[in-house]
Amino acid sequence: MSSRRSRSRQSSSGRITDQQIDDLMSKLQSLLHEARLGSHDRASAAKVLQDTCSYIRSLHREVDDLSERLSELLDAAGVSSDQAACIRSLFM
Amino acid sequence: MRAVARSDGSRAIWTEASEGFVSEGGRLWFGMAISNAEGESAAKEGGGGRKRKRREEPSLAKWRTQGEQRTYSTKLIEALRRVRRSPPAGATSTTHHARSRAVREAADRALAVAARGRTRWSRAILSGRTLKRRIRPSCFRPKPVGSSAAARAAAERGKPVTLEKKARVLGRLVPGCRKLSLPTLLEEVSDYIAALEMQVRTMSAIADVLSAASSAPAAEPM
Repeated sequence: MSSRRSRSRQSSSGRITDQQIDDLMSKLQSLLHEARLGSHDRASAAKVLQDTCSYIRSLHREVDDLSERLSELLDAAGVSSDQAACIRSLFM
Repeated sequence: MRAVARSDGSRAIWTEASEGFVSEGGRLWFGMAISNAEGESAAKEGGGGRKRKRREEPSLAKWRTQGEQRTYSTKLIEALRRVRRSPPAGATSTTHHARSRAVREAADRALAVAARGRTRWSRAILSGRTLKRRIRPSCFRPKPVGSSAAARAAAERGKPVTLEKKARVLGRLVPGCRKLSLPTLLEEVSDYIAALEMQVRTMSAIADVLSAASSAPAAEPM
């Protein structure tokens, strides 16, 4: 796998400082979690990582639930409604 | 915004990602922050003669554009049709699980294709889907002795070890990102989360459309 090979290179852009990592992390996760976060101080990197983990897990769960719902709907739906769904979904 | 989507499911989706930021939000400034690694991976993997303008593509904004969602939903609906046809419903409740898992995998594969191979998680999904399913039970070997020792060391040493542990947990959640360095991992994570959000939005929209269609089949004003 390419991830295993490229990992030996570590950081190709030179030395990455801890401060840089922290800044990048806070920025990334804050922007992604803007809907969930309050205005409290999110300086803790561990909390950010923890929140991200929980968020990804909840997204996975949501996708699983949706997959289940879709598989049930697929069983129930007829052929013509598929085409209607196709056409209608193009107007999303 | 122009999105040329081939409905035969091929990968020739030339959605102009750089135009996409106009329609949704203002994530351009954010895309530049992580554009370096994006450019590096794009240069390495190429893309086969694709017109890459510059390294300032808003790599997360594309997941929020209407065009991208429409493209993804089209591919997903096709994949769902295939799922619907191939396994004949004859078994017991195991079929439901198998079907929903097939749906989930089709959705993930379509999502990975939508990423156009520029991220590790998408490549990992496309290249190792069945492998991941098979080796996952054996790979997940919890080492209780080792973790308690690491926890003790973490309490003594402070932040870095705990942080690294959490980063490893995070790396396990994202496909193909187990052994990445932290900056790379964070970029993969952010792209993955944005993609997952789009996946959720699209799948719920499709589910709504299908449930409306199945409940009111004759009331379509076409």
